[in-house]
Amino acid sequence: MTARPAEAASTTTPAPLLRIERITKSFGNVDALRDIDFTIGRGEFFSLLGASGCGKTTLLRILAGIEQPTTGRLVIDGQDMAGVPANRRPTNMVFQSYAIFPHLNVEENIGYGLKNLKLGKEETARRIEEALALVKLDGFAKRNSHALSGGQRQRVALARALVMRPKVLLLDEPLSALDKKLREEMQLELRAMQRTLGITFVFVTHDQEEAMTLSDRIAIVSAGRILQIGSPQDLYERPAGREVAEFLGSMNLLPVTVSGPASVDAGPLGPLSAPVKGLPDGTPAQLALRPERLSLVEGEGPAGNRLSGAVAEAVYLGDRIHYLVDIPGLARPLRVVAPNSVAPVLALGSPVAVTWPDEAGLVLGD
Amino acid sequence: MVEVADTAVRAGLSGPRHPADPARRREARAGYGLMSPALLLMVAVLALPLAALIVLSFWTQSGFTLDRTFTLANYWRLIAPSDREVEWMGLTFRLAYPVPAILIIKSLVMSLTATVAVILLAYPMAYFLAFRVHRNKAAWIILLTVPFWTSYLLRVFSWKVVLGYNGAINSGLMSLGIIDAPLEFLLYNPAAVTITLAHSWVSFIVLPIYVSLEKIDRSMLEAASDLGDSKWKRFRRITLPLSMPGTISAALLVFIPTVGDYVTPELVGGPGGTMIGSLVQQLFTKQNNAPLGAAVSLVMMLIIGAMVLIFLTLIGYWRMRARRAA
Amino acid sequence: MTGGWGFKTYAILFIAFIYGPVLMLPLFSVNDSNFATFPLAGFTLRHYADLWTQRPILEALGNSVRIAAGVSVLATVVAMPAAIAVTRFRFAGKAPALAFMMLPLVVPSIVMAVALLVIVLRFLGIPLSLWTVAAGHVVVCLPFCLSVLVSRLEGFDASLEEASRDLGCAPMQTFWRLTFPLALPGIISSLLLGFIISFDEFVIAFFLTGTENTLPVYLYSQLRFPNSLPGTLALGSLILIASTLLVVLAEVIRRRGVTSDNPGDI
Repeated sequence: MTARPAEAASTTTPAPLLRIERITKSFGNVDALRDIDFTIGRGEFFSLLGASGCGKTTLLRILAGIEQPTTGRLVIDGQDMAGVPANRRPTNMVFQSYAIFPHLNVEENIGYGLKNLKLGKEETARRIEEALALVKLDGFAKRNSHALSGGQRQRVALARALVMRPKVLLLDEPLSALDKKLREEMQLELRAMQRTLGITFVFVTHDQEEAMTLSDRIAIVSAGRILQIGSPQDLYERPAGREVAEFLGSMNLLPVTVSGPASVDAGPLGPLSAPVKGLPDGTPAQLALRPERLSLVEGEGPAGNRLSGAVAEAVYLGDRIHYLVDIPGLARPLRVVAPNSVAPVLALGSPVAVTWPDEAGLVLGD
Repeated sequence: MVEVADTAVRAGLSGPRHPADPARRREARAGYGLMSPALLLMVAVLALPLAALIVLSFWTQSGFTLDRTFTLANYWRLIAPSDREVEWMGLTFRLAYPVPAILIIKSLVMSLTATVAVILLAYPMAYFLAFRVHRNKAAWIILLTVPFWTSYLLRVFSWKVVLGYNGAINSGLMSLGIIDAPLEFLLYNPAAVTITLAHSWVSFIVLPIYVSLEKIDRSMLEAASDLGDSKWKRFRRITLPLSMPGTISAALLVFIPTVGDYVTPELVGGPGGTMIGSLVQQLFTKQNNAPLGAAVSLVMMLIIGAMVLIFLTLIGYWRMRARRAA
Repeated sequence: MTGGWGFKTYAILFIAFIYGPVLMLPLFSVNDSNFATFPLAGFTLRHYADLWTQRPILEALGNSVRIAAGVSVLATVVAMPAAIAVTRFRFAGKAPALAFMMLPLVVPSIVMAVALLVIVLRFLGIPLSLWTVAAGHVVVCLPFCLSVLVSRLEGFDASLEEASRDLGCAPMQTFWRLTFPLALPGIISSLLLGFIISFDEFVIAFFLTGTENTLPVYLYSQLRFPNSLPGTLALGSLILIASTLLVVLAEVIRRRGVTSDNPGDI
């Protein structure tokens, strides 16, 4: 696992707006963040993805200036943020709880920060109106904040931050409190909004699907470290390690030993072909196989990468079928996702072969 | 009140953290800065006076002259033995000056009795409020709290009106023809003091107990029933232990201040119902021996503190053993 | 529900127990007799009318109100920043500092009274006055004011203040635009409670007052004179009614604030 992930792999790296340089954060003896170092480009939709407690929210709060890093430097648009308090940073945040001020109505909530900009009455009113329109809350200006639904609160929080025209908008799991349908709707809106406004978004989430839907690039955070940064496709197709591979989507992992530039030895299962990059012969490794890249064939099947076994479980999901296939010599059954075709669902216990093209396999060092 | 008990409990929790981080240090400075007016006030009006009281207790007074040489004479006086035996409630005291010892023991017993009575009275009420009242809870809570905030002096005085020789009970029973002459045993005795103390504090204690009951997750009770507990068993195994910490801190908030109570024994105690607070007052005024009075107050506080500590240690020990047994 | 009636009966008896004795005061205060005895002799308000002719009562009332007003303001002003420190800051030594501020709850007031008496008279040589009473009262009120404010500040999410900072407000602006208005019900209730506690406090006032009386001290001096009983009952009833009104007001304000300002329950 690399502390400074190679960013060259990603296709587009826009001019950096945020430079996060070797930031660490400890709470007492606990290291919440360790040696975080990367940049975020201007106009990028950037997500921090990780399980709860991994440090992603802490990093976001450091960007906002609510928390101070223990060591390291943060530069936003060329300006060092050391000693710049939260109220003087060109960032604004959408809080997970939304933090709608309960004693103010919608309009006053949105205008809260504008008062500090001293724009004059007309400009303030104009901006509030614009913001209300942007989040589709026209006509809600005088609404009492207690009388808002969850989705509306989320929109007010968004408008309140956007109306400040921040260089960077920070979003702390803003959709996690919404139900599934509303969440999907908001995802599309957020993405469209970000494209139109061209503002850099830094988005914290634990939901990989959400991160993949929204982001230009994603940083995978685990235990206070960044495991890998890249576009959704990069991360899915070319995970830098086992943890990332298992984190994004579903992945079968087979213990193997590297035996050549394009082959591995899977012990009792025999030799298998897969492209090997940068691992010398004899290295213990994992052969990673996405379930949807595997095919099931009844009986023996063609030559090539092939493992024989029996269907242990079949789950019919309409558009696809999930199989678990017991392979003699493998501790865990292989997961296989088959598209639903006219062929009937295989019966439990049917003898099958699991096959895949060489390039579907990914050899990951331990 | 809930908040008071809660905040008092909080004070005992959470230890120091993060000393090294500069951001933490800044936060600590700001925190102490914000607290400093209150802390300074507490030092000036509570800590320094208590320190002065301690200093004074090591001096001596005879007549109008104060002797400022350091001495333990006042403390010695409280425990100095003598051949003369004094009997009180079946206890024999061989002390030259047994009054403080007797009064301290008496105060502790009376206040302990009152505390137990308060808990026994308040717990069912709090239980009713937490589990049986579903509507107008706020109104109930206000109804139960209001008496505590009304004048302590008047609440105590009202018992004099109720229990007095010419009081409500006596005149009421006489006018109903149940008794011919006033009952004299109602007022001016330790029982009257204990009843009055219990009455004065019971409205303070319902709320903290109620809160500790209210905090119990209802699904835990459902789980206990689901696992076969009867109602009573469930109360004993789930409700009671979970409400214990709140109840205990509530009990301490009654016990500690009542030992040194002054108003109640003065008004309804009579000669038989005096407590240690009255002695302190007399030493400072009529008997003009402030240093001895200081020593008596400090010894009283020390004994209360020691009792509370022993009690809490015992509970900690008992809980630890219960956990190990489980 | 089994035992429902048992509990209800108990609750009614409980309420009767805590209110019964106290209600004797207003009852006998309108009784046309010089003794607090049954049977009742008839309704009269003359005991109340007599109160207004007695200068000492009016003077004591004035003293008590002035002390209570000053004490409640000072205690609240001092407790507010402390409550912010308790709820919003993490630092070493916070718990002991908080415990220290809650100490007056567990120090018997007679000990506090004599300790103040000693330092004021013997160490500082200041004559006793209403000022010394007020000093004692501030300390007695502090734990209560602090508790009310702490629980109020805990009632709303700390991320509100972070949001305010994030939207460009410096700490002082955040206080005035956000914390203060949100804490206002707690502040008012702290002021009212401080006022009541000081107004009703007897022991410290009894020890620390000079030549001037507070109302409870005056009342106490009258308790031992049987022939002033009717006046005492009337005065006591008035005090009870006044403090009951204030407490109910304080509670209602605080509770209404709490329920309407919790955005969590959408």
